Amino acid sequence: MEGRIDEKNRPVLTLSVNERPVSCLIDTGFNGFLWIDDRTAHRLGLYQHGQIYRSELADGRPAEFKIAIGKILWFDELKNIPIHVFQGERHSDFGALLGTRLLIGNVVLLDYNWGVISIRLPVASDRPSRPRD
Amino acid sequence: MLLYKQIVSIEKEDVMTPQQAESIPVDEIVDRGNKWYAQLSAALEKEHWGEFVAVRIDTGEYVIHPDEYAIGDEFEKAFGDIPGFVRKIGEQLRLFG
Repeated sequence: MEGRIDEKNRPVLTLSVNERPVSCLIDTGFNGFLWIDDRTAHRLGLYQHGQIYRSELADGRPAEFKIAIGKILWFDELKNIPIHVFQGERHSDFGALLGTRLLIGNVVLLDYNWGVISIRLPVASDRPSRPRD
Repeated sequence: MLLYKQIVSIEKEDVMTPQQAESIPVDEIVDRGNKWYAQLSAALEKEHWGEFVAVRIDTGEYVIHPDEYAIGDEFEKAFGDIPGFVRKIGEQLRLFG
């Protein structure tokens, strides 16, 4: 899967969510699957359950979200994943953040030379010579 | 693990209809949920620190589950698709940073 580095040097991947394209900022500081704003959720026709989740952002501000189940295309396979739907004003120009839970088990290459990113399955030669701490 | 308890005596007029529940704004759900949590916190934090609680905002009934994604389903199994307030017991849920 390939994405791009945008004009503000941010890694962006366009993902199919409920069969519609969504530009996602890859945010390695977010430990869920996908975080999208309420407006994008409505555009995608995501059904949101009635429960409001309380969480805290990295800067300590409270944030409320709902959980919706969405269908994404991931390596040519349709997967149902839980999506965090943010309740409130959008904080960035991205309607969606892609988090580390979706990246687990994959290799992510950020190429700031050519302005592309790639996400692929691991191969044996990726194994580091020293195990991580 | 799932725990389902009725913690208060419920007056019939306290119980919301699904139509009433649908019109409640997010801020009010959070406000009511925080008030219920304040009442429950001492008991919950003693035995369920780090798990998740989902509180029914009209009656204070709740479910507990260790998984943040599964607790919504458990709540709906118990109470139907009505608003609830979910939070991590004893600490804030942090998804960023």
